Amino acid sequence: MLEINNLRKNFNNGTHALKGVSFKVKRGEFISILGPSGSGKTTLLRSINGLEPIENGEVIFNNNKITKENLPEVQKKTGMIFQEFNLVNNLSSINNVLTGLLNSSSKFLSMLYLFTKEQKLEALQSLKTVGLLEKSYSRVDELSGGQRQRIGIARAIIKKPILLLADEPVASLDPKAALSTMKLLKKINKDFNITILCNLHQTNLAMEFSDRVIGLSDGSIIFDEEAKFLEKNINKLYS
Amino acid sequence: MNNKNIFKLTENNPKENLEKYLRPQWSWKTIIFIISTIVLLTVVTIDLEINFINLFTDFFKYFADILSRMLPPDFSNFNELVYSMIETIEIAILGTFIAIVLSIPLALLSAKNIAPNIVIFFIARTITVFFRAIPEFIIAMILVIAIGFGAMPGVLALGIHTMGFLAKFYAEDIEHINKGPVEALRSSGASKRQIIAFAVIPQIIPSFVANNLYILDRNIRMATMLGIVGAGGIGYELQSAFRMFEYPKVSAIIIIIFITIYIIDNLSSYIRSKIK
Repeated sequence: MLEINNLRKNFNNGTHALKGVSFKVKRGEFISILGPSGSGKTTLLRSINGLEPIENGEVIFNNNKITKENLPEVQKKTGMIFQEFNLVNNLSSINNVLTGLLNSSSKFLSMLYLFTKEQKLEALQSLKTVGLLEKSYSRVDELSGGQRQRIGIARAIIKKPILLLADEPVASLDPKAALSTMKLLKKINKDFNITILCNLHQTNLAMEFSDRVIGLSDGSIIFDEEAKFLEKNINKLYS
Repeated sequence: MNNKNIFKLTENNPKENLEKYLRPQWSWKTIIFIISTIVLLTVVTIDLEINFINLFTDFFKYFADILSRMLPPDFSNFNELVYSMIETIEIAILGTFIAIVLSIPLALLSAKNIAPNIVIFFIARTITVFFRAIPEFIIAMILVIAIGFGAMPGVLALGIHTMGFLAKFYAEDIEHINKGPVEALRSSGASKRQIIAFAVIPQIIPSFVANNLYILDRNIRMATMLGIVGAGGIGYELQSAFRMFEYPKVSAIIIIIFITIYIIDNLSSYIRSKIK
C-alpha cells in the first residue's frame, strides 16, 4: 500500500536529510523507524503526507504516485500524530478532533465551526475509541500529556485513514503514558487494520509493538527486518 | 580550557592564573550608554531653557494657586456632565468597534507568516504604520473641517488611528503563534482559510480580547480630549469651562473623568484576568 523509492531530501542549509531511502509497506503492518536524532526519520514521515515536498525519488500510495495534484486525496487517507501533540490549546477536545475532518467539510460552514451531526458523532466515536469520551468538551490545555496525545490520535483516526504516521508519539510522555499510548496505537492497528509508520527512540517499545523495524542513520536505511531481530541490529544503528 | 586544567592552575598560583578571567562589572557599552544619556538630557534641558531649580521651588506656589481657583468643584450641572461623559464613552465604543472591524483584515494581510505575498504584506504594513503615525487629534481636526462638529469626527478619528495599533498588535500575535497546530491542520489537508479559523484565531483570542479592552480603555481617555477640537463629548465641556475661566467646573469635570476611567480600568483588568 506504500512504496518509497529512492527518496532524497536536501535542505537549503546543505543538510542531506534523506540519501536515497527505499522500502515497501504492506497494508496493516506496524513499522517502527528507529534512529538517532537527525537521522531523517521526521523528514521521511513529513515527505509522505506532503509537509515536505518530494523533490527526488517517489512515494507510491495505494498504487498512485503522490503528486501535488493528488496530495489532498492522500491527506484524506493518512493521519499524522506529532511528538508535541500540535493541538489548539484553547479549543475543546471535540473541536480539536473535528479539525481532522476539515479536508472533507464544507469550507464555509467549517469556518464558522459548524459541523454536521454525523461529523460530531464521528468525533465522539473517535474520542470513545481513545477512551476520552467524558473529556469531549474539556479544553485540551486542561488535560495531561498522555490524554492530549490521545486527542491527537483521535484527530488522526476520525477520517478513517488507512495509514497513520506517528512522529515520535511518546517522546514527550512519561513511561506509563508512553506504554499506554503505544498499546492504543497497536489496538488501532489491529482493530481497524490501519497501517502505522511510527518514529521511535525506545528500542523496547519498537520490539514489543512493531511487526517490522527500519533502522535509519544519517539519511540511509541501515537495516529493515522483523522486530524480533532488532537486538542483533541495534548496535549497527548507534555504533 | 577544561575544568581540570583550571583546577591545576589554581593550585599552582591561584591569583595570577585566575585574574585573567576577571571582567569589569560594568561593560564599556553600559558606560557609554550612561554617559550618552547624561549628555543627551543635558543638551535637551539647555535647548529647552528649562530651569529645574526654579521649577521645583515654584511648584508649590503654582499648585496652591491653581488649586485655590479650582476648589470646591462645581457640580451644579451634574446631569449635563454625566450625559457628556456617556457620550464620550459612546464615541470610544463606536470608534473601537470600527478599529476592530478594520484592523482584522489588515492584520491578516500584515502578518508575515500568513500574508498572501510580500507585496500585499508591505502595503498592509505601510497602512498600519501610516495611521499609527498620525495622532487622532490631527485626524479629528481634519474631520471636523470636513464633516463638521459633533460625535462623528471623534468616532472616525479614534477608529482610524487605533486601527493601526490593533492591526499591529494582532499581526504580532499571529506571527508568534505556536506553529504546531498549523502544521497538524496542513498535514490533514485543511485549506488556508480553515487553518486561520481553527489554528490561528483560537490561539490569539485571549490577547485579541485583552488588546481590544486596552484600546477601549485608551479610547475613552482619548475621547475626553477629542472634544477640545470639537469632536463631541465631555472634552467639549472641558474646553468651554476653560474658556469661561470656570475652574470649579473644570475640577468637577476632571473628577467625573477620573471616576469613569477608574471604573473602566478596573473593569477591563478584571475581564482580562478572566480570559485564558
